[in-house]
Amino acid sequence: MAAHLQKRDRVLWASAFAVMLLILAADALSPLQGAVAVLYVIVVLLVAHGGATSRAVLGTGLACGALAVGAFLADHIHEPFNAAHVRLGVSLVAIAATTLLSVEQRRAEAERNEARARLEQSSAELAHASRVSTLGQLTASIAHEVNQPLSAIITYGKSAKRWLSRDVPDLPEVTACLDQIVANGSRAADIISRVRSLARKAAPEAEPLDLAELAGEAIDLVRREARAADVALRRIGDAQVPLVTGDRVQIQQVLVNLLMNGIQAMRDVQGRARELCIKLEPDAGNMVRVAVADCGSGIAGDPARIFEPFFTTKPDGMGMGLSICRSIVEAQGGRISAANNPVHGVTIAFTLPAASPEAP
Amino acid sequence: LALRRNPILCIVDDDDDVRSSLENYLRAAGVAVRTFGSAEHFLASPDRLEADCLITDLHMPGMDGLALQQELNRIGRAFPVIVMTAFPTIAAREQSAGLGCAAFLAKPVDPDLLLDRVEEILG
Repeated sequence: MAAHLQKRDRVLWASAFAVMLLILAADALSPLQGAVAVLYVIVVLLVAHGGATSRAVLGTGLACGALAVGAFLADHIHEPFNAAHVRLGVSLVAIAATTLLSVEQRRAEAERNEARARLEQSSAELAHASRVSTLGQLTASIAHEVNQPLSAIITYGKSAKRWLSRDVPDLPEVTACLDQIVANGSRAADIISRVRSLARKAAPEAEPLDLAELAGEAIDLVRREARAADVALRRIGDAQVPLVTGDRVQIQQVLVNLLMNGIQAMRDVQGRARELCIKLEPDAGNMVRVAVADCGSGIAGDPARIFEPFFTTKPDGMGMGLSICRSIVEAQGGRISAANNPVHGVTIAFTLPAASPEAP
Repeated sequence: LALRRNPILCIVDDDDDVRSSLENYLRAAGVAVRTFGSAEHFLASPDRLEADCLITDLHMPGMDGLALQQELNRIGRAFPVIVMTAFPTIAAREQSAGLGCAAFLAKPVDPDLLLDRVEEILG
C-alpha cells in the first residue's frame, strides 16, 4: 500500500514537472509572453488533485509564479510598462487565486480525513470497551471454565502417581492419565486464547471467516452462562454456508452479544423450555444470514428500537450492546434486524457478505 | 484401605472431565465408582437406593444438587452425601447441611482430601 502510494506520488510530481517545463518553454517562445503563463494553473490543479499537502500546493503555486515572472523578465526587463505587463499580471492573479483556492480545499479535505479517522478510532474503542464489558459479565463463567480443566489436570496427575506406585505399576492407566492431562491443558489454553482474542484491541481487519466455527466458539464462551440461566442452546439447520468477509474479533463480539442478550431475555420465562436457537443459512444477494431466536416475552412496540443507543429492557443494562452490534455489522457491509416471533420471543438476525471465491 | 465390604461410590457431575478424572483417581485408589452425568440419570438407576456414598455437584443443568438431595431424602436415602461445588456460598453450604450432607467441598476438589473424607465417612 505504502509503496503503491509512493509510486503514484512520483508519477504525479514527474508529470506536474513535465507540464511545468512545457509551459515554461511555450511561455518563453510565444509572442504572447505572460499570457501563456496562465496555463501554470494546470500545474497547480494537477498537484492539488493528486492529493499533495496544502503546503506542497502553495509551494507549487509560488514556483509557477516565479517561473512566469522569471521568463517574462528575461525578455522584457528593459521594456516600459505595456500590454505584456498586463498579461503577466492577469496570469499571476489567476495562478495566485487557483493556488489559494486549492490550498483551502486541501486543508478542508485534510480536516475531513482527520475527523473521519478520529471517528473510526472512537468507534473501535467503543467496540473494544463493549467487548471488555461483555467479558466482565462472563468473568465467573470464564473462571469456572478454566478451573474445570485445571482441577481435572491435578486429579489425573495424582491419579497417575497412584497407578505408578502400585506393586505392579499400571502403565496403560498412567498413559491414559497423561493423555487426559494433555487434553485438559489444551482445553484450558483454548479458553484463554478465545478470551484474549476478544479482549484484544486492534484496528478491525477484513478477512475470510467461517461463521459456523465462530458461532461454535461463541457458544462455548456463553455455555456456562446458559446453564446457569437454565437455557438450552440449539444450533439448527447447520447447512454449509460460504465463508464471509469481516473482522474476526468484532463478528465474534456480535455473536457473543446476541447470545448473551437472548439468554438474558429469557430470565423471567416460566412454564416453558428456555431455548435459544442459532441458525446459519445462505441469504439472497451472496450474503450469509445468522439468526438468534429466543423465546422470551418479545419487544413491545417497534422491535427495531432495540438497536437505538441507550435502549434497554434490563434494569442493569446500558443499552449500548446492540447498537454497537449494528454499527459493527453495517461497517462490514451487512444488515441487522429484529422481529418478534409468531409465538414467543424475538429473532435478531444479521447478514454478512460472502467472501469472493478467489479469496484465500 | 480401611473401607468396609467394597463400597460403591457414585459421582454425579455434568462436567465430563471432572467426572472421569475423579473416577480414574478413585479407581486408582481401589474404590469402585459409578458416574452419572446428571441427577436425573442417577435417580433413574438402582444406585439411588443401593449406593454406599454419593458425591454430587451442586450447579447442574436440569435438576441441581440441592433438588437431588431433597429427592433422595424423600425416597429415604440411607447413604452419606458429599457435596462439591464451584460456587461455595454460605447459603448453599447451609442448605446442604440442612439436607444432611456429610461434607461440603469447594471445587476444584483436591482428590486426596476427597478420598480422606470418603474414608472418614465410610470408615
